Amino acid sequence: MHLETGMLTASSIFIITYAVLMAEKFNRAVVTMLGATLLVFLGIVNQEELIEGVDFNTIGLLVGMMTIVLISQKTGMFQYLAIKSAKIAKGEPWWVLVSLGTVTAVLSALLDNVTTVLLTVPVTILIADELKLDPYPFLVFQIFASNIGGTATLIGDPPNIMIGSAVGLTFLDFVLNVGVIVPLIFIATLIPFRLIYGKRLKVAAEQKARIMEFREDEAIKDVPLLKKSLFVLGLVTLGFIFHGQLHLEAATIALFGAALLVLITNEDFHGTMEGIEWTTVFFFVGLFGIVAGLEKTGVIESLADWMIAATGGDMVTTSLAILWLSAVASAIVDNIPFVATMIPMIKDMAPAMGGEGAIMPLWWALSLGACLGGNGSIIGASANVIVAGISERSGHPIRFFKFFVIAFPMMLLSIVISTVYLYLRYLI
Amino acid sequence: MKASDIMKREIVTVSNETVGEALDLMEEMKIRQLPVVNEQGEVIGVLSPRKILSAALPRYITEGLLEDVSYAPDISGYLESFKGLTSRNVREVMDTEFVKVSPDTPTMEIATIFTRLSIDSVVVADDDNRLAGLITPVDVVFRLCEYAKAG
Repeated sequence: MHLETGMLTASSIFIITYAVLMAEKFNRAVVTMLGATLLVFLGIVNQEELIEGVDFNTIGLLVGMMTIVLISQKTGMFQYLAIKSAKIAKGEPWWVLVSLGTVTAVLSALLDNVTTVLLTVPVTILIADELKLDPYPFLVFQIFASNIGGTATLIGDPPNIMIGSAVGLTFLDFVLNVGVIVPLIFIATLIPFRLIYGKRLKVAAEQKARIMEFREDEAIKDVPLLKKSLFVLGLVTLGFIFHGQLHLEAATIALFGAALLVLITNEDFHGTMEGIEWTTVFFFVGLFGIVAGLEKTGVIESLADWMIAATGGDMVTTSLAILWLSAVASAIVDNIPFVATMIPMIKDMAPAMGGEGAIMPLWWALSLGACLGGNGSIIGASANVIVAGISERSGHPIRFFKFFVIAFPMMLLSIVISTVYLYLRYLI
Repeated sequence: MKASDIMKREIVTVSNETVGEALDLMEEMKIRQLPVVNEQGEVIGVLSPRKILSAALPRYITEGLLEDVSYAPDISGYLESFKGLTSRNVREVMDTEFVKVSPDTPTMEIATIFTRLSIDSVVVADDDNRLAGLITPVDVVFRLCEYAKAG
């Protein structure tokens, strides 16, 4: 490897940024923004190159969807869905777990996982309290459901957004290549769950009856707003399905939907903007900037060369290596910086591996690994941390190891299924 | 007019009683706000009906994670939680964040406090943090009425 000061500086800043992020002592956006601007100060990149490196499609998509969800959630529709699903299960605990998980998975596929769990988890705890059951199994399964569901679409999970944006993949591309295996993984995860928690999930008829006493209609707070929200959500979903044919990028669809919703609902724009997670937005901006530094100094290229040498450029080995590496990395560390680095690296590997068209399996491997890996530990994904936080504040802490011993094997199971799928579909 | 002109001076307090005992006291003495004092006579908290109600609710509601429970059936769990509450020490349940004023605090400030914060009482304490008196909105209103009629 040809080492130069530029490469060392950029790499050091990246590693230090990652380490500081993991320590979780400072605001994420502040950390990456400092890292990125430091690169400019040190002359590694200039401002133009930094800004060029920022993927505004990813950011636009995030902001657009955040806005839509912020306004839609005022309707109470998420709580409605959670309660309705518990009632469809007739209060039978196992089926309540399955249906709450299904709702969470579907919502996670279309909206961001963090907001989905923020809205559905408190209701889940309430439902578990009414059933006089420990909420733990319900919450753990919701964590799995949110990560598994988010894997299925372009917009379900940030890794997919970033990959799709960088490679020019459409919503349908993800659904047809990654989404198809998601239902199988979801069902497969239920099996060990049933074996482990099945016995605890039994209650008397009295408890089930109380679930049926929930009045889900009261959860809907604003019917006109609900109609408008559903309209825009439907429009945006259609837009995502056809955005390839329409030659529109995902961010356009999301931002259009957001602006439309604000307009037709007369929502206070300032108030809505205040609700947006700007920390996440600027975290991405700074991160993209740092990765731009890694690219410009040739660090990424060197990593790509090293990877080609290590796998001999063999598609099977490389795909599976990326799948498993991404999964384990995702479980332990924040997957977003990892994916942000892997994307340009895989792109650099393309020439040696048959060109851009030929390396599609590598992208699916990265997507599956980075998204599903998030189930591996309680810190594996942001949604996990949020659920753990809410659970703790409700008096039911989710301990790292207790979760890990169940979650890590289940995550490995999903990766094994993904391995078989990738092999049979793309690598034979 | 100052806090010392408005406050009630003969205040019933609790120190280490259970919530159940405190509730009996409230009913007996027809009072709603119970300052909690420690062994040194310093005010360490206030026990009020509002705080008791909230203490029996699950944290995910009181901490604002679940803003709306209008769809839930009347929670039997709430009743049980409440029963469990009555055997706990008042110091575990009391509001430790309460408003304290000095005997010299002007009336207008006290009125402003009641307007801005949704609290039921204001503790009047001397420099040693000892309980001097208690003021509720009704005390201020009646005192002001008297003053208005006299003037």
